[in-house]
Amino acid sequence: MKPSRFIIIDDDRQDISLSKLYIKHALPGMQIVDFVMPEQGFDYIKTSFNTGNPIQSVLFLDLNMPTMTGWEFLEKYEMLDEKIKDQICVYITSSSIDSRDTDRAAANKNIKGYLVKPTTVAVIKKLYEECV
Amino acid sequence: MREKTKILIVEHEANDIELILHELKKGEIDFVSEIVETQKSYVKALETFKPDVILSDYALPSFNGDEVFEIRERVAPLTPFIFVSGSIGEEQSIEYIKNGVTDYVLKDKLFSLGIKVKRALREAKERDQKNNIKIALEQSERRLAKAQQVAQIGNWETDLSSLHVTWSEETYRIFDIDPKNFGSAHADFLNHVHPEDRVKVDTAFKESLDKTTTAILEHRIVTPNGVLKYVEERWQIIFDKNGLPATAVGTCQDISIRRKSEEKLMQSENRFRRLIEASADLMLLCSIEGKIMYGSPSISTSLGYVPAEIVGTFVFDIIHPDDLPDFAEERKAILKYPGQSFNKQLIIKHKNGEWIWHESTINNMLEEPGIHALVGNFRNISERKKADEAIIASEEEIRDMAESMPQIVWVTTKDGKNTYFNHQWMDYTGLTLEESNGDGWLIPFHDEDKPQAWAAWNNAMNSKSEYIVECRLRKHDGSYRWWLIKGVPKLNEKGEILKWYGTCTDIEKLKEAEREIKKSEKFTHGVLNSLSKHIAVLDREGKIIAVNDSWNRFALENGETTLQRTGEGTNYFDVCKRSIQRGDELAGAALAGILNVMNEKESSFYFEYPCHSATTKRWFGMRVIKFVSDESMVVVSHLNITERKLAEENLLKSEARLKEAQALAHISNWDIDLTLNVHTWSDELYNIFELNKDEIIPSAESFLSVMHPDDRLFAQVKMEEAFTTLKSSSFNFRFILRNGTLRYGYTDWRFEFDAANKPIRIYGILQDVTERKIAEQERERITNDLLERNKDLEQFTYIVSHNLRSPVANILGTTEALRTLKLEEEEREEMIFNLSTSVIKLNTVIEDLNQILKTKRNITEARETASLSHIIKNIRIGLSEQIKKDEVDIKTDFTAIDKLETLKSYLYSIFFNLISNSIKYRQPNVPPVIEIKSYKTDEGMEIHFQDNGLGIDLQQKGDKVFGLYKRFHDHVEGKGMGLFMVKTQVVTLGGKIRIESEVNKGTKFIIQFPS
Repeated sequence: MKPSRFIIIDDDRQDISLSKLYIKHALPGMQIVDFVMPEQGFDYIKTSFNTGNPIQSVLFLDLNMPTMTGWEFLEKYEMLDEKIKDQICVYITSSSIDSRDTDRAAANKNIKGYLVKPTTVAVIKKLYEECV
Repeated sequence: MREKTKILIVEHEANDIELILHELKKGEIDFVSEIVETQKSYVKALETFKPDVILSDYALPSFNGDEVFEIRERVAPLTPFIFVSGSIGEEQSIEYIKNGVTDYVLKDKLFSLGIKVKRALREAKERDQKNNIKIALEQSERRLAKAQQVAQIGNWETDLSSLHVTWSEETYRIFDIDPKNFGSAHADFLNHVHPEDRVKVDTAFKESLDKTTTAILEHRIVTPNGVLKYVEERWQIIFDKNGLPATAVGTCQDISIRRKSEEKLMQSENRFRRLIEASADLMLLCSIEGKIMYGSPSISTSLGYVPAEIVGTFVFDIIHPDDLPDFAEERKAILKYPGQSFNKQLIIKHKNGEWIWHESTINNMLEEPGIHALVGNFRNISERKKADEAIIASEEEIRDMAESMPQIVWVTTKDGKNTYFNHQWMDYTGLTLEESNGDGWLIPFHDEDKPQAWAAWNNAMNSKSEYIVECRLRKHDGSYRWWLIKGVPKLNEKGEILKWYGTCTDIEKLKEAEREIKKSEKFTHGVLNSLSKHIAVLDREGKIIAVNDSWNRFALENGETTLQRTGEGTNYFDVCKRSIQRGDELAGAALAGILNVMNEKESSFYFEYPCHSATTKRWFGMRVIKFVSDESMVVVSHLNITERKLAEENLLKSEARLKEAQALAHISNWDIDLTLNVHTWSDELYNIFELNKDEIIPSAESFLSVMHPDDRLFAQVKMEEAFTTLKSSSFNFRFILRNGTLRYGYTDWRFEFDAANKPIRIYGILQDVTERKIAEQERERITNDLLERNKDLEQFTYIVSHNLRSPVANILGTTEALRTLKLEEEEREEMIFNLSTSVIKLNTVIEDLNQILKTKRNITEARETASLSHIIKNIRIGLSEQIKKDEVDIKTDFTAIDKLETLKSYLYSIFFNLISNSIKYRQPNVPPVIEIKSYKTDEGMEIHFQDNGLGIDLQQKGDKVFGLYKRFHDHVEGKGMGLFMVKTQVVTLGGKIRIESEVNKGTKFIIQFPS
């Protein structure tokens, strides 16, 4: 089932607007939800994916955030019900090209991919094609 | 030649004698004569002169003619006897002739004498011829007599009318009587009969007179010598024609031998009976049914019965019931076989009911004539039983003793077959008793010791003396130990060996000791001879008693070929004296030294002397000491010390070199002689401490006094530790020179031990390591700096990859979108805003980086005195607008400490950032309250900064609080630069900062600065 929703969690508003722009252009009409506060993004996932009506989604998660880093978010995410996690493909979106970050992402089974900002139209399209 | 006729004349009238001789001569008779007139001379003449004819007067004054005739009848009955008498009548003469007188001549008719003598001689001759026949008869009679003698039977005849007895020769012999002395009357016979038997003999004889049967009588006789004999007389009465008893004819047999053996037999029978009667053993005769027929008298003592009481009872009644079945069975077994017997120990009942042990032998004599009984002999053995038990007990005791002995104890037969071993043997050899018995004891002997052991054994056997040998015996585990084996023979009274008793004693330890001594002797000898020292022992007169190999070798090497000058037996004093005469002063010193030790003026003497040969330099050390075992001897030894002497020379040189080397390397050495507690410092050590040798005495205290006071305790602990562990050790320390310069030192030492592992010396080095230490400190500082810089670099890498890359990525994305996407107008504007925002961000980051780098560079700025109150006052001014707006209350207390040496600008920046943060992260609707207070501490000072803001969850964020670009709150704009800068500046000023915080309560920063 192809994803029908994109969730963006990023503390940088410029980055969010840029991501939204690319998604819109790559996948016209795609539903996009965004959060500057990762805590709010987590609450959203926890509540809106537990309805019994699955919505296949893609999550763009930033790593470097002041109140809750992407890694802290993933620790909490790990605790969620498998049914919720099954509906979500997590992609790290980060400007960091530090190998310590990419290596750590590769080791996390909940992370589908690591996207180095900026995320372009081609990347999003390809990502969408690959989603099952 | 015809013999002259010997004529004996019994006459006392000389005229008559003359006439008789005249008539004889006239009658032409060739004669010799002897004239006697007494009875005595007559009898003598009969015996010695042995006359052929006797002429006797009838009427003689001393004795008459009848007596003369009677004597002739007795002594010489065959010699012709002629009466020459004047008074004898015709009738009387005839009577005489009848009685045996040969003839008679009247004195008045002497003329017929010659004729009558001749006729008498002729008749005598004729009668002699008849006698020869008679002699033959007599010879035959003698043979009979001989036979009688052999048979010891004589015969006799008694004329019952005259009671005259006639005995045969043997009868006389039996009676041991000379016939001449026997009266030949019945009464004479009775006189020789044993007085007690005379009545019996006489009665029997008288009673036999009217009987025709042969009478037999045994009686005793006593010979004249007093010998008692037994004879058996048998006789018969011969009656005359009138039927009256005339003669008794009998035999007499000597039956003494028979009687004696009979008597002996009787005595023996008697004795035997007495034995039975008197024996302590009880004898019982029983019938086939077991009824007691006879009991010997000892029954009263042994069993308390009177013999009469026991006779008629059954033997089974007095045998203990336990013994009865066996007894009955064995008894039954012998019943059928006369002569058979059995032995058995039985318990027999005493009359008083007590049971008594008896040894019994029961014999079947049922067929024995006169006995017809089972004969039982019973011996009381209760005493023996007790003794047996005692012996058993004693044997057990001896056996126990043998078993408890630590030695091996053994017993063999006379030819060496073993019969006993105590358990020590089994324990040691591991052989069983069965294996060891007989010849088994040979097994454990070591093959090499067997010949010796066998020889010793054979020797002991032959000489019947102690067997003693030392040999090895195999232990059960196969190893061998030495044993001393000793055995002694037990001999009987004939000196024959009955048994051998012996022991084996473990002498392994002894042997070992012996071996050790031998080894030690060999060792000592070896050592002495392997010593390079030349050693000689001298007696009081200086004579060399013993030398070692080196002594002789030295003499030979020095050209002495025969050892006649200094070898054993020569006089060492003379050697010295000869040298003195040659002018050798050293020889004089040597001799004096020897004599001093010899005379106990000194305990030892030592001196060193040169003795250079033509080609090489040589030195010797001579030592003289008392010989240990004997006071009148000394030991003189010479040791070639050339090498040492040369080494000493070299050492002096090398010491000088070492001194130079130490000075160059700033390494000194020291040592402590622990036995004398003497400290020695090398010259260089004084140099290092910049002290003069005469200023300070080397000691541990001196060392500590030079040391930095803070290091003394540590050094003391280190030294004490070394003395307890006796291990090599080292430590670094600081010391202060007289001019106050601090320097660094290093010392290292090790212990030297003697043979008994006792520490005798400590060797140490001490080094001035100040230069090295300073270099080390510098290196450490550089290393820390590098580490810090490396951290900074990592921080920069992080900043570059995150904070710098973040706006760059956004710019890239935005420009890409602007360039490639067909954007709505609205979208376009948004992207342009994005672009400008990101560019500003990028610029901020670069500015921040610049500030950080600037801070780091400013370390070198000169410090100045800053006042905390002043700085806070300036900040208040700078932030006055915000303070007013947010109603910020800043309370300060710098009474403890206000001024400090620091970089004013940094201190300002620190508090500016902290106060800004407190206002920025205040609690909503709560006016911020900030308290700043200074404290004095041991290390320097502390400044406490407390607010009542949001606080930080330190459990989650603690490690990141002071990181660059760390933000914890999203509602306000922040770059995460503030606390990073605070920390960087505090650290640059040489201080430390830490944080305490509680969410929604507030945050407290503690800043420490060293004085």
